[in-house]
Amino acid sequence: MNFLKPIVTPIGQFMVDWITVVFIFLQQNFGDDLTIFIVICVIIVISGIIINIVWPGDIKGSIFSKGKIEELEDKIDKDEEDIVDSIRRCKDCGNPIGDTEVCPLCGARN
Amino acid sequence: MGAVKNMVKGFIFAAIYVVTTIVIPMLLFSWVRTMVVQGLPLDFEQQDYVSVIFWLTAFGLIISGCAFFTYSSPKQSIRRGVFALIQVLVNCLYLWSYKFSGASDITFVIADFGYFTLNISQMILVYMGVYFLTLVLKVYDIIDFSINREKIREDRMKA
Repeated sequence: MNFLKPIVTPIGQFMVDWITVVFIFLQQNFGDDLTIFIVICVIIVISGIIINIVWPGDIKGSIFSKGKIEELEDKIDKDEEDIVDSIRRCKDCGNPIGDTEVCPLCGARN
Repeated sequence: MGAVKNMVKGFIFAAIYVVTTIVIPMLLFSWVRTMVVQGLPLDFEQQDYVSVIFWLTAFGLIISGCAFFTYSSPKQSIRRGVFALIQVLVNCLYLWSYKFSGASDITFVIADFGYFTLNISQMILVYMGVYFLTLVLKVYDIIDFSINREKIREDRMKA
């Protein structure tokens, strides 16, 4: 496994370096009080709750993203319309005929 | 999935992380401290026992907060990607706190009998390699979610 050493060693060194720097910083500045960590945790949870209420992501109802959702809905509707329009229809009766030359409903050649 | 379901999911995962990153390690260390081997007390010669518990709790709290945010966010959202990345970074610090605080190299003394040392430094270093790969994956996820943002949103609306 020695052939992996030139790749693995710098990766390990990189990880150790940044973690050491951050950890020493935290030890020196926040090493004796849990308050800051509790505050960070609470802020993350509260912001998570607020963001989920405002932007649930997959349902509409958010006043902040209403315009964007409507825009997307229009786009989706347009795509669906395009699919319907792209189906070949009989010139005489309007029946969808797909790839066939003769309409199965009225027998007209297209 | 609506906001309430998202949040319930987030709280469940946050609770799981609280148990696995804070409660279980704390109980384990407390149990080891009071362990008795063949009728002889086992002294936990870890000078920084308080320090270990402090950093476990500190990083455990942040990991749990990030887990709530991550798992309460919609799938393939950028915010989910960002907080998943932050969670991995804090996980690295959490793991490293075992090594820095001395918990990865603990000497247990059995009174009037002898001692033994538990060294898990190598195991932590191996985990660091795994975490590096996870970091790369999370960064890729964020780039992917950012580039395909519109398509992901459209798919979500269609579903």
